[in-house]
Amino acid sequence: MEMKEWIQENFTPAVMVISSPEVEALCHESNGFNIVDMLRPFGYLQQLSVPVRTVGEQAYRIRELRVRFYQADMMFKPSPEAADEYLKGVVNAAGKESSSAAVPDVLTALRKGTVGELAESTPSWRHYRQEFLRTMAFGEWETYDHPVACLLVLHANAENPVEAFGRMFHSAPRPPLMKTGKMEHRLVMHHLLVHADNAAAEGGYAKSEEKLKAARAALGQAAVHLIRINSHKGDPAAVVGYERKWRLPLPGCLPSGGAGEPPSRPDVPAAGLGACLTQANLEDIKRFVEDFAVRALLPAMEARVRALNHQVKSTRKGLTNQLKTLLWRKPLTGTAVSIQGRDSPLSGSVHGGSVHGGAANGGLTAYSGASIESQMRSLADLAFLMQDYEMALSTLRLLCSDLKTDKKWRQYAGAQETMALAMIMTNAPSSEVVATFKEAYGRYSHLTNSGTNKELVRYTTRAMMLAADYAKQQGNFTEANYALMKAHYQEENLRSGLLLEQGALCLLRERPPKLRKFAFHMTLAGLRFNACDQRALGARAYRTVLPVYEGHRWYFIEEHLHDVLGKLDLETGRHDAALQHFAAIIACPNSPAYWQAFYLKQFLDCVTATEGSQGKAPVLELVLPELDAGKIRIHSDDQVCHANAEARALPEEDWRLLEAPLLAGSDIQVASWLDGGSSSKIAGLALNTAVVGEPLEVLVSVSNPLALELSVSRMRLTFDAEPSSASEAAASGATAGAGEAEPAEALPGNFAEAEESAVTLKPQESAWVALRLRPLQPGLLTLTGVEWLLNDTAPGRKQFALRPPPTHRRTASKAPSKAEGQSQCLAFTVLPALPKLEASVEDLPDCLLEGELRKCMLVLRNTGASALHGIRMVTSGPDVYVSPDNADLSSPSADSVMPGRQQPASTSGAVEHLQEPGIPLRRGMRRCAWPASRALQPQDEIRWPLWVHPRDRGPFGFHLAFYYEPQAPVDGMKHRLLRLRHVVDVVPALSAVAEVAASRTDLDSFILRLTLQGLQPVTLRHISSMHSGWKLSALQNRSDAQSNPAQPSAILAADLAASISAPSSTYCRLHPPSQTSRNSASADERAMQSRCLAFFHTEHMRALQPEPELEQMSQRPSKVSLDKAAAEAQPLPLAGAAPSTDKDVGASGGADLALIWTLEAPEGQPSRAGATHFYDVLEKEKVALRAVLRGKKQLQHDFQRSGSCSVPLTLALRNCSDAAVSVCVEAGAPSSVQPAAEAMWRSMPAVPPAGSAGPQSQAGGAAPEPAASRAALGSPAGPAYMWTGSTRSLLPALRPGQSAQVPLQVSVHVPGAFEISDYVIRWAAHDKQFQQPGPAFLLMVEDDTSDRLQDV
Amino acid sequence: MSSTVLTFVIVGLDDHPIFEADLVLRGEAGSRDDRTQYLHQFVLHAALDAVEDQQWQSTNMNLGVVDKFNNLQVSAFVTAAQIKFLLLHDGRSDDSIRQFFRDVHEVFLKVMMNPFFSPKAPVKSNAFHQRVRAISRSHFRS
Repeated sequence: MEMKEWIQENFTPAVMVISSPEVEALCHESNGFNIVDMLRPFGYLQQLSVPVRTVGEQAYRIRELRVRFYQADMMFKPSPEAADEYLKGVVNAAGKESSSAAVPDVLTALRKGTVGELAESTPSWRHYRQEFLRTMAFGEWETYDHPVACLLVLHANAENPVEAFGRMFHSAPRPPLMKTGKMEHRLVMHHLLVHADNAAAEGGYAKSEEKLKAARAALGQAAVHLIRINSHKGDPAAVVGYERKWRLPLPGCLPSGGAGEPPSRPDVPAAGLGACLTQANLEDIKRFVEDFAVRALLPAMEARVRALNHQVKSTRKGLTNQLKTLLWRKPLTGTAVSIQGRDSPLSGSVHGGSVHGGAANGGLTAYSGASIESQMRSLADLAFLMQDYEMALSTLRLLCSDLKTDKKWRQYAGAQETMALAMIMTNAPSSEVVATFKEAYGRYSHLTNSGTNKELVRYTTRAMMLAADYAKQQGNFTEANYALMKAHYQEENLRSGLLLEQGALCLLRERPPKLRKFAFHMTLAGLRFNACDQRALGARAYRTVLPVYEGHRWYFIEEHLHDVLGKLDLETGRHDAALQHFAAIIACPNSPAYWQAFYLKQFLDCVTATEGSQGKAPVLELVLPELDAGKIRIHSDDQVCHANAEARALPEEDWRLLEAPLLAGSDIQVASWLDGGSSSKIAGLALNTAVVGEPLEVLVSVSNPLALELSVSRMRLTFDAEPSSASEAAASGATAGAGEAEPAEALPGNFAEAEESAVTLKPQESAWVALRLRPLQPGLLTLTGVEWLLNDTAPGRKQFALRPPPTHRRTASKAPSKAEGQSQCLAFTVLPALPKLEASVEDLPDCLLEGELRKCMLVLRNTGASALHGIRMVTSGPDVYVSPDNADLSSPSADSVMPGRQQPASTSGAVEHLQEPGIPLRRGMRRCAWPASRALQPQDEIRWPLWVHPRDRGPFGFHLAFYYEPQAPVDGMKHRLLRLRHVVDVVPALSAVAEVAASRTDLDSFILRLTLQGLQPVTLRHISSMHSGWKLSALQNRSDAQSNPAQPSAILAADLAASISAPSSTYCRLHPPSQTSRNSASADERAMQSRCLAFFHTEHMRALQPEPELEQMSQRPSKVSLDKAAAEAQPLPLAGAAPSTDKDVGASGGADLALIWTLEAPEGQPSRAGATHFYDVLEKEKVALRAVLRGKKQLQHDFQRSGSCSVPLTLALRNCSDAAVSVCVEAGAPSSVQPAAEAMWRSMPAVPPAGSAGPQSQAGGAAPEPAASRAALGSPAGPAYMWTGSTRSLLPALRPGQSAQVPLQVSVHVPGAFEISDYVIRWAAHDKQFQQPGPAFLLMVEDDTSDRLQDV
Repeated sequence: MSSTVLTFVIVGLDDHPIFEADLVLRGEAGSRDDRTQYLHQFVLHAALDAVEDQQWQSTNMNLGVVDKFNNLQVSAFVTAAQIKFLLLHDGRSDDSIRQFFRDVHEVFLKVMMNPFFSPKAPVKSNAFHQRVRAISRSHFRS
């Protein structure tokens, strides 16, 4: 409604009605309302044209006038408490309506631009505002509600109406303010005689008319009226039926009365309100009211305005008065200019004698009713009511200035308020209007004594409400919100909430809308509502703002809203809604632990309560524990099964590599477009496959964000199932939630059963939970989500929401691999039951020693429902050895690897052999196959020895892939694969270093030094030569060696405990294969070697060698090529060394050794054995040419007899290279190149002998060396021997492996010990020259004096 | 410390608070009522309207006090990337707040340089948290 209209409607002359009880009774009985109610609808007078003149010269016309009728005794303001009680009722009634109404959707309204409608739709506000303002009427200081006329109503059958009128006026209760003199008591009187047709009065209407004439004669022609009511004769057709006309203007009643209304209303008669009034009656009433208003009311008001104006003019207006006010303004109370005693301003304007005066004096208020200020206020208000707003405004301005001077702030604020209204009517600038309202507010709020004066707080609120209304009209929503916010501060909760709500709605209508502020204010309103127990309104406010905050991660806010809403819903018994709210806040990681516990308990209590009331707690989408619905891993055994979790950890590519050789031999069906028609529909979809009876496993990630421990129990998968046509009859219900036990069990063909698992999550803990589902019927199965029970109370669920893999069309990133696709697909094709092979490796400890040889037991078991056959296996690397037969099923012990151990007799008697004992494949993989005819019945098992031999410390893993086929072919799965992987830790046990030095005594053998340090208490048992032909012998004393030379053998037993504290060394001699023994490499010696040891020794080397056929192999190997490879490698497991290497054994060395050691295990456990391998220990000691200088080492010579002793020496040479060399031996020539290592190893001659320019001589020639060579040097420290004979020998061609002898001779002149080393061997091969120093030879020559003694 | 309200929030895109810190020194203020956190968040969230209103009216990043509720004031600072720093306080000097915002901005730029930074995801860096606290201590020591 337009503000101006509202003002015109509400600020209208009020008429005090005093009626006799008879009239009231007549009216009550027949019509159900009072006289006042009867008159009210006719108080709105339209189409008038009454000329009035107030103070100006110009008259103006009143076109429209409303007259308010009030019962005289009810013209008072109710107490604030009573008014608030009444207003609460108003709100409650509205709240009841609103609770059923839908909560407004703010966001949608904003989007659609229908916020205005939203604001209008607040259920209680409009009515509340109207009623609030009504209870504020009849204020002491505001006179616009004060009566301007008095209407006396009397029944027409009363005797002597004139006297009766007088009696009635005096005896009737009057408004309390009038009694205290604050209300003008000199009113224009009007008299009404009511003739009721249904009251049997003698003389009827004519008699009443006579009485009217009499009264008119006494009271004046225009002051008495007669109306006729209750003319209705009970004829239903004649009922006017203006029920609505009567009902609408009926305001509510306060229990204590006041605000213009009686405490209660009479009962509504059965025929409805106003049932006895005919059309003629209504016309009568209308005529009366019009006559009264125009002929009595308006003239009286006119006269009163003029009189008051005259009064004001004489005291306050004009220059003189202004000066007087300025200079001699009286200081305050009591001294107001009294006009007591003078004639009332009204007295002249009404008919004589109609004033029944005599009122109590004004009392001790600041301004008495007769003070000039009061009169000014009356004048202004009257002018306002007479629609002379300019006049009202100017008077109010004048008044305000006076009040301000007097510091009468309360009156001042009231005057400001009315002034603002007058300004609105005079179209003053809106800023001025608002400023005036604010001024009023400011003054009021100063007086409220910080909210304790309830009466004034209400005035404050009224001022701001009016200001907000005006601002809203002007479209100034910011100002409106400001005003309402100001208004709410000191108010009681309910009104404050309503004001906040209105203020918030104003924020939404601003440009741009202030949504967030709106939400805040609305929440404050909700808080206020809750504080005053208006739950419905509070809940409504909170629900309105919830979508604004939700999802923006303002955790505390959401927590608060949900908490409050949940509690409200719980109170009102809406358990489901409460649960939703409580569930939303249980995950509050930002809150302290005790709040988390509180919320959780609150939620669980609510669940229990719901369970109690509804019998079953609803399954909610819970946020605890946090479950990542987009991150799940599906493990299902389809064609490929995984025997353990470690097998899943290995990348798919590695398994494919392993499985390729398995699949190579089988007939893989390749679908092509030719057989497209035959493929089933299900196969065309990219579905996972599952098998009846075999559980499929889903790993879901759950985490606990709270600081509390959570227990999650009964966690299980939910699914949708669609049985295949075969089993359709069994399952009528297509969907069966696993959690809903009843329907699932009711079905005879339960489609699948879900295993339940439980997990307890510690604070902040995350875990992967494996959930299993076992399909029971073939068909189509789709996993939908997870259900669980939180803390054994609250059932929760979460739907899987798998994110489709991101596809980048432009960057052409790779399509998801099949494995990724599989793990992200929730639909399964369930196949009928199939055989299933399960494999395990027994006797495998958690921790192995480095180099340990461990015998384990491979157990294959068929856990499926039907038989299988055609088992093949591929081992991953050279560290795994599968025994070709299962003869030895004994438990592991160190003895089993000891050489020469007899194969124990098989206990079972029937020894099985592998069909393919181990076809070597690339990268050290080997393929084994069990005989195709070997069928494994359900629950049958195969046990097979399996050796593992970890070489390196750290984690050691080996993988086995199995292939098998169902014995009875099944459509959709011709074969299956099984993957098994084991990873164990490997710790070091023994540190061994082998060093080899060429023997200095012969040209063939080597000395081996083994330096051992045990990291565990390891005992070295054997040293084995793993290379055919190489043999070992123990080092002996020289004497022993001559008497009883050690017989070299392939295995040298040793029994040496490796010291843990310090390295210890052991020595032995290494003999190269002799020509004679090479070919007859004793088979018995080989047989001595453990087969697995030989396998591990050679297989490792093979795996290290580059594979020329690698690329070829990466293609799918054909069956033919594989079989060929198998045939070639048939004897392999026994081959200790590659046979082809024999030919250059002498030249290239290649002595491979294995140390076999044991470790005594603690009591009760088998002792452990291991092997340390050395490959090609001669690598360092490889020399092209080996040379040994031989000769007699100790000589006796009689130097007196002969001055020089000539010693013949032989230099034995052997060509160890693989090419023919030419050799030149130069004696007496110092080697020009001395390797540094040599320099340290060997004692050097003090001075290298000079005289390198020896004479050229032919090999074998014995050209004598000039004896002066040493003398020519002139060095006293030179060697005391001399090369004689041929000092330069040439061997033109020495073939590989060939030995030669070069004779040399030295002459010694003095007895002593000589190191003979100053000779050089030069040799050439492949057109390159080499030189090496000759090996040193220690010569001892003693002076033989025996002959001399004999001579003596 | 004379006053006891000092809450700092960084608001990223879509009104998501990406960093929150109560900068009042514990121990001096005693055990604070957790429930006041609600009010603080409400006031800060409501102030976003005022921030958006005012950020285009000035070229300055620091907007000063943008909103008030009872005795709580909200000062704001808007970065070039439209990320809002809000400080809820009860009447601190504009000068120290400006300095505080400037220093925090400098540190925050380093957070933003993280290639994994998202204006919607919470900033969880403990180092940043410590730095903000240190800056607050240096500017709001009264």
